[in-house]
Amino acid sequence: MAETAFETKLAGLYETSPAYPDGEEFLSGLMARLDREARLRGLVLGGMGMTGAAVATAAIARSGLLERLYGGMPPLGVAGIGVLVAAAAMAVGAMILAPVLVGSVSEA
Amino acid sequence: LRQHLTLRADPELAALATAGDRAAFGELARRHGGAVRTLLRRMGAQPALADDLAQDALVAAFQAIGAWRNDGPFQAWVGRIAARLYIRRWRREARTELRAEPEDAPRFADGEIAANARLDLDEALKILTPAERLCVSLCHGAGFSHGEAAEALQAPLGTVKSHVKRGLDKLKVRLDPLEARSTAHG
Repeated sequence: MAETAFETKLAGLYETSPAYPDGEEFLSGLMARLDREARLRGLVLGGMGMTGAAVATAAIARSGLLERLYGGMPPLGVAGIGVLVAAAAMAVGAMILAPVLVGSVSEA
Repeated sequence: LRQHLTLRADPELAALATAGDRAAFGELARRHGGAVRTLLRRMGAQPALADDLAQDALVAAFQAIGAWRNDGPFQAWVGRIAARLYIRRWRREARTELRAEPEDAPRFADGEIAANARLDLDEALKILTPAERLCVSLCHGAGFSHGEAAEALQAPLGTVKSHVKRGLDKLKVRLDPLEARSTAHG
């Protein structure tokens, strides 16, 4: 499509934009929204991670894998190891969630 | 930190934003947000809707920032995202159906043309029909080809072309009256 001089001029006019007096307000609204969405994403991912860890731990405990690995001599017992693994998984999940939750509280 | 970011070029800021740096993206938004708001208004969106969609477009741009390949200006890339969001909204609300509606370019007396020549683009766009305004702004503001605009609007290519042609003719009379007259006489 051959561009006429007028079309070139028009493209130049479209590139110009007035300064908005509420530009900073617009920007802070956008940044607040990006922060909210990042926190929500962290919350969802952290929650999914914790749920997944709990499910995996339960599945491992039920499968008898730990009994086979420790050959009947688990110092803490199968249930104890399961609890430790679950606690570790929950701690990791909590570490992911903590900044998200703290951010939500401070915003509120 | 803000001063540090203002010195960086768009591609550098985009690379930082790709790594999750929201402040870097904020600097991109500060530079180009106004242009996105303006484009949406020029397409025909009311100011409140234009601002909402501009924010939606910038959020979408942040989420897909890795897709910007620096093969064109960042502003144009976000502008296209915003334009597509507006078209989706426009089609959903179906406020205006894109039809071929033959219209003559408005006629101005000589004195009127001289006065109107001083009008800026935003004033000039007001004389276009909504469909003409949308098609002209898509093709000359957001950088869509006629084919892309027709596909996005789900309208026949010929209809889009005729809206663009009529819109350009009207704008020419307003913005470039001397060329418009020489074209008309030639």
